[in-house]
Amino acid sequence: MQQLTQICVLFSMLFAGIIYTRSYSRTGTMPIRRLPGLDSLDEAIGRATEMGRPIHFTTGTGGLVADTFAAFAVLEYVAKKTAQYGCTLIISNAQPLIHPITENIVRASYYAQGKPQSFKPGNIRYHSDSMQAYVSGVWGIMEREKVAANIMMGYFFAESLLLSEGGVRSGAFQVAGTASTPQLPFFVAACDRTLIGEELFAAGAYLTEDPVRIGALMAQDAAKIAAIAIILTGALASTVGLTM
Amino acid sequence: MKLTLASFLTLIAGVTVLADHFVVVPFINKTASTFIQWSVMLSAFSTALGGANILAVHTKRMSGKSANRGLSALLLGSMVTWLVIGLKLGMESQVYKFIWDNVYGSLSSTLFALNAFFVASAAYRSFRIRGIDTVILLVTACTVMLGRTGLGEAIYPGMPQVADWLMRVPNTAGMRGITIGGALGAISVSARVILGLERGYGGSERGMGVSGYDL
Amino acid sequence: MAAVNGEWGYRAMTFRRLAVLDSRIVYAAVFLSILLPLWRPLGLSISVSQGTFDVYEVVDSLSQDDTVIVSPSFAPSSEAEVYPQMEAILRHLLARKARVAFVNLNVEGRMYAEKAMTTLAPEFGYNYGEDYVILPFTPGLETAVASISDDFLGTYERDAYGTPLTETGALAGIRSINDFALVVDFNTGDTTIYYIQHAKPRGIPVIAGASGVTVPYLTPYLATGQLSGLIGGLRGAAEYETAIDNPGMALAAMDAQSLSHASILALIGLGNAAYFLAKRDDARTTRRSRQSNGGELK
Repeated sequence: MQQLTQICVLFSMLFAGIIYTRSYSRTGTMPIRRLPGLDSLDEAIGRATEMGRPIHFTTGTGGLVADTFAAFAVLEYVAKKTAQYGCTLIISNAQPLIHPITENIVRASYYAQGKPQSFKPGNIRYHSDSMQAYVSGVWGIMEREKVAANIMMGYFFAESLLLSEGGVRSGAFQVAGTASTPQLPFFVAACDRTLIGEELFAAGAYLTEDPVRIGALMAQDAAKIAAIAIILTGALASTVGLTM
Repeated sequence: MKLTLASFLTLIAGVTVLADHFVVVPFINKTASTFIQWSVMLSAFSTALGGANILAVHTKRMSGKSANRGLSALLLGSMVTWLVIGLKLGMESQVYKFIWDNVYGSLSSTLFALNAFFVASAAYRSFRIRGIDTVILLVTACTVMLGRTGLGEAIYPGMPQVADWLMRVPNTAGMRGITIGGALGAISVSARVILGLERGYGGSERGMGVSGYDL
Repeated sequence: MAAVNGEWGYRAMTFRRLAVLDSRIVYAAVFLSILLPLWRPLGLSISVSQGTFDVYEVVDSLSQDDTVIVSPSFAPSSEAEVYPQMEAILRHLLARKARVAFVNLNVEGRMYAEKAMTTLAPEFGYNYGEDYVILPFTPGLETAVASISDDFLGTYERDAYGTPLTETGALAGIRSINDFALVVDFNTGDTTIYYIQHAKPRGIPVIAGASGVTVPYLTPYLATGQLSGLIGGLRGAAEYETAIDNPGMALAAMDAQSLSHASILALIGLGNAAYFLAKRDDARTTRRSRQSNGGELK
């Protein structure tokens, strides 16, 4: 029964995705509510450009999970903007698998903006998959290179507070986003703006207005409504003594 | 070509592992199991990839005129020493255990312990009573903090039960909401990756941008 | 009037400074609150919560025919909080004569398994290979758990020291993950969720010991029954030590935790008081300036 529910949710989501993507392609409009966390990315980039100081970006110690894929969309946006404004972008990686991907994204973004000469592979740095070594490396960058903005998007563990307090000490404007619920309170307390849970997954659609991503976002909303309906039905059935 | 092949492999691997979760077909189950074991091996290999990256970057920095080349030398020296001890003497050797307990363990614990200070500092800055919602947040936080200690129990014996209730009921409700929303987002991203619709991570062959959109 | 304005302005400035107190003063207050009880213990008592008692009951229901997976999935960073939990639960498992297989999802896991068993094995008469076995580090986290749950013997052919598993008596009857009676995961991250997702559907109960910060994240899985028990943070370890009547390092450290929590609460109180007073004095200064300028604010 549990597996049947899972299959139903999965397929309803996929079908909703296809239907919504098609309808979006026809109408071309889809209002997405304002996400201050994502709007503040421009503020962070603007601040760094005005100050002539670098921007730091990291995806945390999480592996190649969905949060990290969502973070790649944000990285792409930030990389394109920094290439456009001539601002330095430094990336810290904790996972060896993620390192070449971030390098690839930044290189492609700089090429897309017609600034291949501004791309510096040395600014994309792998530290260690050990949290402590990684945090120490990031602190070093924040202090030595006086970053103006610190953007943390992806899947984080206990390094969340260590990184964000490091950013506070160096006076950086900080934007964070994660679906890792244990780390959210730390980001909310220490950062200027935070994307909570699914807001991170909406980032790609919000920033790029890509029809596929917007269609997926609409499907996500449809699946959420389905999930609420299933929860309510289950709660009601359980209250009246019906069990599956 | 490169991206098409990558997308094709992603699709095959993703669909097989996903199907393994739902169906009992020996061929699919066996193939998925093989894929999963391959990914364990890939994870192990990526550690070596990371080590190679560190070697490349810091060797270059040491040979240059960087002001931090001393730090790079220190990093490489520590890495090579630790690696040689581990490979030559093994993890059960006294030397390895000594370094583990007295250098790595102590440094890690110290760095993690800083969280206690940072929590206090962040709480001092951000826990300001600005309205009814912040009052609720503050009272809840204080109750849970006291309820997790002997001091809370000494002040009011029912404090741990109140803290437990707060964790089990309102916390669970909030967490479930965020988790369900996050999980649906994760499914959406994963589905796009498996179906080859999310190719941003693969970069572009022609250097024409990642997802092909313009600012 | 100018003097009065100056006085109010000075007070507001002092409160404002207090509201953004230097971090080093906050750090010093927390440091002292941790240090003092270690020097002069307060001796505060701890009661055993229902959650900890549930874990105790699950472990207590095991017998010597049962083999249990113990997964030390934490790092030195959270050792102070999670290791006492592991030692207390292992003590109970060994008292029940259950056989133990240590599954290591991170590099550090094996070190903790060896450290714990160096002390506990002689005390409970456990022999390596016959009564417990330490498995090698398996990288990949979720994929590692999926692999173990999917094909246990395919994932592990040998133990951490290179001995074939077929030669270890501790895993004699084990063919797949279904042959284990329980999974006990000590975590600071997501590893418990991986066991819930991959081992639990195969009918293996999962219990967890978690760092304090992970507890809110795992609590939702208790009510659904996906997690059969959870002990959280240093307090959870102290409660378990009380439950098995073996006071250890967690109970000894609880006073430091009590006082540090109290100091953080006091700092929050101070921060709020300063914030309110600064706001009130700012309002007064503005009002007085307006009055002295005939109703116009300059």
